[in-house]
Amino acid sequence: MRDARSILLVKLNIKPGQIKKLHDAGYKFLEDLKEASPLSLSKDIGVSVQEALSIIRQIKNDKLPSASLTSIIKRETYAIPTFCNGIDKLLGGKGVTLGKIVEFCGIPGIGKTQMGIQLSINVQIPRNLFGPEGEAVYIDTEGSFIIQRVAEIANGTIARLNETVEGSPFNLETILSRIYYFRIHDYIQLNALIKNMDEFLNEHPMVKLIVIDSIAFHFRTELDLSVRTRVLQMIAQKLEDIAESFELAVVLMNQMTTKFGGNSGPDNTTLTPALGDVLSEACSDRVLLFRRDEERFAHLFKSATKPELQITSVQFQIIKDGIRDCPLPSDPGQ
Amino acid sequence: MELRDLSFRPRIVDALNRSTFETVADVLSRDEEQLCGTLKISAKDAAELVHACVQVITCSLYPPKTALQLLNDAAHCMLSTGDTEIDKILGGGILSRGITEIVGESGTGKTQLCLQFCLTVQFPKELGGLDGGAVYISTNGMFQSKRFNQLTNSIQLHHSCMRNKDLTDNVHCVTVYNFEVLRNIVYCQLPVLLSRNNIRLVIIDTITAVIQDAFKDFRKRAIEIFCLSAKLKEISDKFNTAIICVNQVTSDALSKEGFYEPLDCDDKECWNYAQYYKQMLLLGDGMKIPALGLSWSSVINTRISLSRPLRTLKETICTMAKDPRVITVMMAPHAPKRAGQFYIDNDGLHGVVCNSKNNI
Repeated sequence: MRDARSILLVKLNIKPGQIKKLHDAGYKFLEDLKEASPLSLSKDIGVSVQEALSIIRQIKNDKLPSASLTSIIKRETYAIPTFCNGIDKLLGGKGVTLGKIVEFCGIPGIGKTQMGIQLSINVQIPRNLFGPEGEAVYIDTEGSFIIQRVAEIANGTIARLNETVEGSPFNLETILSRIYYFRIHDYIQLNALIKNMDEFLNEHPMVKLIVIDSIAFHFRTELDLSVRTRVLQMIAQKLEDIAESFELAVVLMNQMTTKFGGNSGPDNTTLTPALGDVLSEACSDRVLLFRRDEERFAHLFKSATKPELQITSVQFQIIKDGIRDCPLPSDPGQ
Repeated sequence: MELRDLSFRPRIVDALNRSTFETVADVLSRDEEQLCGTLKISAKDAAELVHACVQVITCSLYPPKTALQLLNDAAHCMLSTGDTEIDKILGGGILSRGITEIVGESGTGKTQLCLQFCLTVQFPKELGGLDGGAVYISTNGMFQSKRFNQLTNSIQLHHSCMRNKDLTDNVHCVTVYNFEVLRNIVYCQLPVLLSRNNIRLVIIDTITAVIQDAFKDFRKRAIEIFCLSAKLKEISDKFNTAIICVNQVTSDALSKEGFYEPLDCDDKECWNYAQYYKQMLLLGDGMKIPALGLSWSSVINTRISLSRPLRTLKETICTMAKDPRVITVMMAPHAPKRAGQFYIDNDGLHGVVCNSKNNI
């Protein structure tokens, strides 16, 4: 065991900018940071609580944030397809990448639950068809997970896979038996469930996807914004940990809320994702589902990895079989 | 869940007694560092406290059901409207769990449909019912008992199996005039009533005015809407009860242009408020959308609208129905957006058989 006193912060794997801020605030040795809480540290060195927390975590682990090349390749090979090529491209080419948190937001009725169901089924696509061959945890906060609809989409998925491969071992019963369903009735329950999710995941190592539909609903019952932010932050951190350590994807569904804009009076009303900025830190990709006239579109508005993407809005449709590409994509510019 | 019902180490109990903490929620809404600070306990004790609370809260959630078990349990079944054509439009009926909203202008048949559900819910399962009673919470005057009797007679005439039952005895009515009373009923009285009777349907007719009158502040109103609906959904799951809320319409700001938020995005239209309104627009003469705004739309599971079609549409209708109306599934987790015509006579609502696809 090294003596914490003797370890200079510069020797640790912290970003140069952060090291400078730490130095300016008088932190030089690992020992100095031992008692620091994310909140006090963020005030001391003038960064967000999230960033302070990541510094502390980095120090506590005292290891390089390395993932073995095999696991990176594995993650990138076995993404969860949405069955809409356009959306898959937005998300990095193959769909929802394992090890990450992705948020889908949109107005009621746009198809967030349908997306969640489709992903819970698609995570099970076998390896030989380039799926992750995993299982799914579906955390339902709104009561919109309708089993008849799940069965319908599962059948649609089977039909689609059978087009590619003769006699795939996929059938309705296996698909449904690999989706674990939790119904949550308040955010305290949600927080508790996420806190001891590790135990469940250790028992079910095949789980490669956690869907929370929706993350927003119960938080919007809380009047006290500081409580809301705090609990949400706890959940977001835990989800990041889980996603990373179990190499699974976390998909969060989020609602929209009305934002009364600036100085121009109440007329300047816009839509914005609920719950403020707390989530956006944790999510590597945020996708907005929206409608233009009667068509459905997905728009990538935050991405950690793909700033060079040319097209950020793609069209999709929801049919009996689930989420699909549009047969004749119409020009979004029209 | 009260903290004093749980057992901890004496020193944690002491710390809790000294604090203002009462429920498990007080513990779980703070992180461990805060607990150490507020309760003045060690990190190890804080972790232990949190762990115990987490266990208490989550024990009821484990083991989770798989989707296959849900399917075998028939976790969701449909409550029929009693009319095959309308059921077809609705995707089999309304869901036996969760909140279904029925929205429309006055005189489009919202209450008629609700009364009909009060009867069909008492049907045996083979006939699309749920074999249980109903609670009817009315906020705009008395229950329409005369019309209900008329429908009862008609049902008993057509379905011999219902003849020996007292259909009116299974419908519990209550009239409320303000939000406080409604909240009291939902939080305190409804759970007791449902635990003592076999009730499979709760109707609130209408939810609109009580909420609009009680809250002028939009933020406060939104929070109350979320709290009330969370409670309703909890009741719905616990007692396996369908919830119907009747909502009115408003001719809100569709004319307003330029509702968007740039958010560093080229595609400005995706934040456009008008697009949301357009989606929610009801058929009919005015530019009418469901009342109570986006918050309420976010809490309901299914939205069914009733409307009288525009005159031009009316003229093209090639049926014998005198006063055709349109029923539309605006959004539903189990069914696509779909519309169809219906009319109302002495026997209730009837769908109009339509050969051509009537997708909107």
